[in-house]
Amino acid sequence: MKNLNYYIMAGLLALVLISFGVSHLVRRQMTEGELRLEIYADGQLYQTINLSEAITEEIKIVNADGHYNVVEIENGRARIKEADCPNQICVRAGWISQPGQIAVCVPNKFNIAVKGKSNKVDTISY
Amino acid sequence: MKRWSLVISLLFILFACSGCKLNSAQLQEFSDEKFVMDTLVQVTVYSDDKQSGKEALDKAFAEFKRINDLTDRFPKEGKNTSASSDVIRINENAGIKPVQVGSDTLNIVQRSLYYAQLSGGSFDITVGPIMDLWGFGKDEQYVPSDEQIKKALSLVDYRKVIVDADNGTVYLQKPGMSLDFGGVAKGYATEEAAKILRELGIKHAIINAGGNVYALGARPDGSPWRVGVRDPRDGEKLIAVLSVKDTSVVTSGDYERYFEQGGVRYSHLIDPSTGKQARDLIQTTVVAESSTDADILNKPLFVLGQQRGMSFAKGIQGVGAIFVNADKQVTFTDNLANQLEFTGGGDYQIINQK
Repeated sequence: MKNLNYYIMAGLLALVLISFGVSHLVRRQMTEGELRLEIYADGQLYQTINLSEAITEEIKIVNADGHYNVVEIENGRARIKEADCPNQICVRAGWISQPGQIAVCVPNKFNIAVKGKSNKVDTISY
Repeated sequence: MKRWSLVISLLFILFACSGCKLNSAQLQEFSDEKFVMDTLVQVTVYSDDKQSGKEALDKAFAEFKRINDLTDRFPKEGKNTSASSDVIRINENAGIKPVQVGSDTLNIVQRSLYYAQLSGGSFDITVGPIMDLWGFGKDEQYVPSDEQIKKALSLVDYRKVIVDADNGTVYLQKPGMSLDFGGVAKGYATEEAAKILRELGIKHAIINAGGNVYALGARPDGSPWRVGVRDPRDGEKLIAVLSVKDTSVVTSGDYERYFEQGGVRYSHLIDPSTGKQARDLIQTTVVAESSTDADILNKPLFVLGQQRGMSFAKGIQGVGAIFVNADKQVTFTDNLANQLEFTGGGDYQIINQK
C-alpha cells in the first residue's frame, strides 16, 4: 500500500514537471520565431512573408484610391522600391532587415515592418 | 483508501496551480498601429487580460486622434475645420482677436513659448509662414528666393503670441502670422497617451509615434527598454542603443522630410532666425522624462548646432542629448554615459565633449 502511494506520487510529480517543461519550451519557440516581413495597407495586415526563406520578388500593392507601392524582397531584406506618393520618404527609407525597422508611406497609408524577436532593441527612434 | 484520495487530491491541486500560475500571471503583449498625425503611430502594451489590453490600445489611439484634431493647421476634406482645430481658429484670427482654446492647446503653447524664450528663438511655433513658403506640410517643395524668405520671416516671432491663461485665450498680434505645432504636437500626444495608459493600470508599454518614442515602465522582466537610434546615413543600421525606463527618446534628422534641388538637400529643419536649413548637424536625439520636452528640444539643439546645442542641453535639468554633425562626429551629454551604447560602424567618430 505504502509503496503504491509512493509510485503514484512520483508519477504525478513527473507529470507536473513535464507540463512545466513543455509550456516553457512552447513559449520560447513562440518568441524566438524567425524574422518576418509584415506588409500593411491602410493600417491592416495585408501579407506576412518569412524573410529568411523568401525568394527574390517584387509585390505591387494598390490601395483603394488607386495609389501604389512596390515592395522588393531579397536576401533577407526588403524595401519600398517604388511608390506614386509625392514625398518619396518611403523609398528613401531604403532596405530594412532588423526587427523593429519600418518603411512608411504616409500619403498612401502603407507600411512594411520587420518583426521577430530581437535581442537588440524594443523599438527605434528615427 | 483514505490516504490514497488525500494524496491524489493534493497532487491535483498542485497540478491545477502549476497551470494557473503559467496563465494568469503571464503578461501578454498587445500591439497595434495606425496612421495618425501624418505619421505611423505604433503602440505596444502588456496586460494580463485581453480586454484591458485592447481597451488600452484603443484609448491611446483615440488620444492621438483627439490631439491631432485640436492641433492640425491644415483643413482636410472637411475633417479639420475651425470648429475642430484650435490652431486653425487661432491662425484665422491672427491680427483680429484672441481665441478661446482648450487646456491642451494652452499647455502646448505655453510649453513652446517657454522653450522659445530659453533658446532665444531657436525654436519657434510661429514658423507657419516660413514652412508654407518652403512647402513643408504640402505636396510640392521648392527653394524660395531671399526676398520671399525675408517677407515670410517678418511674420515669424514667438514674442507676438499673447497667451491669457486666466481666460484661456491665445492671440497672434500680426495678420498673416500662423502657428505650426509640427515640432511639438507628436510629443505632446505621446505624453498624453502614456498618461492614459498609466491611468488604465498599464505598467509596461512602448509608444512610437513616427520615431517619437516613449518607454513606459520597464520591460515586463524588469530590465530597461532598449531604444535604438537610427543611423542618420544608413536606414538599415542603428547608430546607438539607449537603455531607458519611464523615459522619452526623440530623434530629428535631415533624412526624413527633405527634398533635393540642384544636388543640395533641403530638410524641414529650418532655423527660425534665417528661414533657411540648419546645416551644422545631421541628427539630434533628446532623452527626457517628458515626451513634449524631448520633441521640442530637438529643434533648438539642431538649429544651434553641435557646440552651442551642447551647452544649451547641459543647462536643462534631466535632459540628455546626442549630436551627430555633418562630418559624422558624435558628441553626447555626460549624463547618458551609463545608458548609451554605440553600435554604428566605423564611419562615425565618437568624440565626447566635456
